[in-house]
Amino acid sequence: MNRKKILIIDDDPSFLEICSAILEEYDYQVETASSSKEGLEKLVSARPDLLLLDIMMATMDEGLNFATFMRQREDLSKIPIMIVSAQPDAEKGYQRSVEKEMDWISADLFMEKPINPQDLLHNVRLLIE
Amino acid sequence: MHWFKRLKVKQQIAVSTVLVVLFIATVSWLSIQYVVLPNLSNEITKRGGIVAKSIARRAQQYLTADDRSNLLDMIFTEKWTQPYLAYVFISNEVDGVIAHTLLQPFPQSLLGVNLLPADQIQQTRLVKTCFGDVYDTAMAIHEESHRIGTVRVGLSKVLVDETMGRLLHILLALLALIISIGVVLTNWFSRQITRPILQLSDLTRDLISCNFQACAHLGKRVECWLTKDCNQTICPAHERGRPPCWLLDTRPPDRAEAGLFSRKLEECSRCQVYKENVGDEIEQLAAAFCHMIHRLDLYQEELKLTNEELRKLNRNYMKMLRFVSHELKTPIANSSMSAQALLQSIFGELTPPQERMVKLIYSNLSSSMEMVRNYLDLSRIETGELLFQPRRLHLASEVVAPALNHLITLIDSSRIRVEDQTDEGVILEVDKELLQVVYGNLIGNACKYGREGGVIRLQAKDQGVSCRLEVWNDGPGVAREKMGQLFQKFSRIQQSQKEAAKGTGLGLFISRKIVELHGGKIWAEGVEGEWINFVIELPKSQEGSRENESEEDLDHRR
Repeated sequence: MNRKKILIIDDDPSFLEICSAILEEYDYQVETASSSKEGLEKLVSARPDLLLLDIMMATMDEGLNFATFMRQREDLSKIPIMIVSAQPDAEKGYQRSVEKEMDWISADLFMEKPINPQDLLHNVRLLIE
Repeated sequence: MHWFKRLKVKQQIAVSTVLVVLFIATVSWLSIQYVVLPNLSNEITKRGGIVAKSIARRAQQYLTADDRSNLLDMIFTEKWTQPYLAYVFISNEVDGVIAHTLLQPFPQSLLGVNLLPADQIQQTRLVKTCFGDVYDTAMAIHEESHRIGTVRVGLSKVLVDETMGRLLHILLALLALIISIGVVLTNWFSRQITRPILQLSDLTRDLISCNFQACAHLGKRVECWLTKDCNQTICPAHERGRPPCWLLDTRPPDRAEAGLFSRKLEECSRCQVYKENVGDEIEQLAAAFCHMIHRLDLYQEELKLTNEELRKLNRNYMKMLRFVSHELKTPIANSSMSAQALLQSIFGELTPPQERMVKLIYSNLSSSMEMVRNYLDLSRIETGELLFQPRRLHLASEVVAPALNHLITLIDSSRIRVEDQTDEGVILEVDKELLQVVYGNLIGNACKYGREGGVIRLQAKDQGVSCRLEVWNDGPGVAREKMGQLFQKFSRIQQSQKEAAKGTGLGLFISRKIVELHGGKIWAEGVEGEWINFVIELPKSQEGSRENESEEDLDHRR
């Protein structure tokens, strides 16, 4: 069976490690990137089935900008995005973008850190299938 | 005298002075009426007697010599020199009237109105004659012991009264003048006294409204050595700065300067400024007042600076707290996630002792996470950076349910039953995230401090313009008098040693701040040992927020 591919973009190596460990345990193929630049390269080369994206990386809303950029690219717009962030306010940014520009939604799901592993698995399944 | 006390000082002075003037005027008027005027009129009528006596003395020679022409000449002269005289005539026992000053035939009736008895020398009577009322004086003319005739002198009452009237008018005019001068002087004096007092009260009003620049015009004498061109080197006030010399603290400043200072103080007895001002109480009061205001102004400035510094310091401290908390949040979140993954057997079943240890790790990490969240919220509140975005939403589905979902692990582990009776129809304009924090804090507290196996009951009611939200539990609660303290920063009402370590003492403070940000109120009710209920009252809409969304929009979002 074709293993589902998940790309995680986060500048926190520990978070990448934990998520990889959990998701690989459930037979997902996990790719990681620690910046949006590296993320874009892997996104194009690996073509994942799901993207886990952190909002705050080098800049405050790098993740949101990255998601917006992805939505505007024909070849990448179909990949579901799950935003993970330690900042509860970040969801407001996500909500604001939904309200402001109704014609595009930059993310499909939002999760606040710390993430319950079961919830993570549940949401991953939901978005991939 | 209550009415008098209600008057202003200026009016009190005026009224008392007017009363004094009126009293003096009344006494003067009474004394004029009953002492001066009768005496005067007495004096005038006596004048008739004096004239009669003088005529009688001279008439005696002419009568003895029977020189009638000189007699007539004498009485005519007398009549014309005395304007009050109505008539003068001389009569004897034999011939009747022998000389008179009348230019008409002598009316005989005049003779009988004031007949002098034989044993009397002089008699004065007020009689009615054809010349009107007359003070008639009869004076006997004697030669040795024989009466040889009688002089009758008539003083016209009308003329006397006219003179008295004129006198009375002059006196009255004088009295009126005295009263008017009194009133004007009173007014002037009272204004002199009340003006500085009024100025002071104006100043006080300025002071109340924090206008410390108001006394600039009153304080010009404060810098006396500038305005009076004094010798600065010998003025003790000059070196001591702001207080004017007549308010100077005369204690020597310190030992080294003591000798010089006392010598300088001696100079004050020769100083013109000091002499001029030391006796003026109102000026002194004003200067003291200005001095006080000046000091207050300086004090306020100092306070402002200190306040600003403290605020900056607190801000920096809060920023640091935020940075540290934020930096801590990532590793705690990661560790918490790993521990949870182990507990959820994602990496295989754990042995019971392993599970016990990992549970311990997880629970410690969870409380650390809560602490970090609280500190982050606190720093946002204190630096004013709390993001507040209210919007209309369904309380039950958009706030209460997610908050409960968030706390599910804690609720399960405390074996507490949650009865969510939140009315589905409650719609509020609130910040979803922030109100979730409030619910999280209140439910979290109920789990931590509540009775094991107890109940938490959530209720919400629409009250028209506001909504009443309640988080009730049957835990031991706190004493009524300590309930106010609950919402203060870092306050922890310690029930036992075990509970003391449970929280940061920030949750309820943060909740209160969030509720207040919404324009609402939060308080606690309860009976110690039985139950406690946290009540929140929130306005249904926020002022100045966006237009109300339609119900469809809301339902769509749900």
